[in-house]
Amino acid sequence: MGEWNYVIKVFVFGFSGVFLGLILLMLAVQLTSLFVKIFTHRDKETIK
Amino acid sequence: MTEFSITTILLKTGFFHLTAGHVIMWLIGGAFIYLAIAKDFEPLLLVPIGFSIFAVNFPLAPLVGEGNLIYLFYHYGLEWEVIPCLIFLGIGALTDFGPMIANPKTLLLGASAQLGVYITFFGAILLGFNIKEAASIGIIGGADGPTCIYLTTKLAPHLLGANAIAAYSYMAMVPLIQPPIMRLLTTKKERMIRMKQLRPVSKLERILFPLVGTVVIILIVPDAAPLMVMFFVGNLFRECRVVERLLKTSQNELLNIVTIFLGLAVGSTMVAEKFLKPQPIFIFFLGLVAFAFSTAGGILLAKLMNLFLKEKINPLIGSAGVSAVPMAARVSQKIGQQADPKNFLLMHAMGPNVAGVIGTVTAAGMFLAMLK
Repeated sequence: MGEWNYVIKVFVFGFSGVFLGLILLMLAVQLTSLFVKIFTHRDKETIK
Repeated sequence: MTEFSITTILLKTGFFHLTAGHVIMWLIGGAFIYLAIAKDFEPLLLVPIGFSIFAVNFPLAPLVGEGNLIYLFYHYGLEWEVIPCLIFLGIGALTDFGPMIANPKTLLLGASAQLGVYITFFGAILLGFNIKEAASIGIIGGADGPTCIYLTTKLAPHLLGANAIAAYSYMAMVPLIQPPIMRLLTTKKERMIRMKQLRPVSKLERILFPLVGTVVIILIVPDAAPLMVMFFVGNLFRECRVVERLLKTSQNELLNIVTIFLGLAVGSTMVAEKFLKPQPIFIFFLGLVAFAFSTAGGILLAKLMNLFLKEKINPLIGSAGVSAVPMAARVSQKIGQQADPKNFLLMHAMGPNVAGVIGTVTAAGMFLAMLK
């Protein structure tokens, strides 16, 4: 029983960890794109 | 001077030590070489692996024992974790993250396509494997050879040969395994969904991605750092466009050299005494289960996302979340075009495809964090 508890923990923490990791990466990518858009847009305006 | 006679010389030849197991392993090695040459199944790996299986199953040949030639490839290449990480350098240098940066939602599909990894982990426990062995078998579902090898070397090195062969064999069979599952889980209407063209991704975003990815993934799963660092540095070589020589070496010469050592080292683990047991058969069966569930996981999450999204995604791109780059994406494109010949899904499918690589490495890192 104890081993099965551990197996279930590995399953739950592992799979949710993968999702958490990739969700955070998704947010980081979106945030990076947003910053790039803001700063490059300002650069273009400055050049004008 | 050592005394010797005809008898002692004859006893030192391989003939007197040959067993049926050795001959069976020659046939298995020969079968891999045949599949690689005649059927074009992952030839870059199956040719060296097949020949290595063939070669290491000669009695008395000093190849695999400690200090011998192929043992050195195995010891320094795999036990020291060098080869999978160098392969990741090459993969990173070859990977275009543009489609994923343009549509970051596809990262979720890469995560859901790890479903097979965890279902198979359960299945392997039920079949009597211990928890570390089960994790190393489950990761086959990620369809990522180097990660499978990396994790197996750390958790269950005695299963390395069977796991690596299963992973690469099923990767070669993606075009056969995935289409029936894709058709089963989607309607024709869903397969015909056309997706909006991806936006262009700026050079700055491409350069920043490997840095951002390194920060996020290594902070969450430090155990995945060796693979992720090499993957992202390879990608930085590609995107920064100022280290052309390093990029070419990572993509070509280095990757090819390391692939030779990888094939020989993996094949050398398949000696008759260790390999001819029921375990490899179970592993091949579980590998198939893993691939099927990973394919289904990606498709089902895409369908679920469509319930909430204004701009629908074609669920066929979900199946590309199993890493197998770029074959799984090509399968999505092919099945999509069977439903609508003017539908082009390839670039959309590349997003989950490369996200699947990161997903599998994260899954491996989670296993290491909990089981090492």
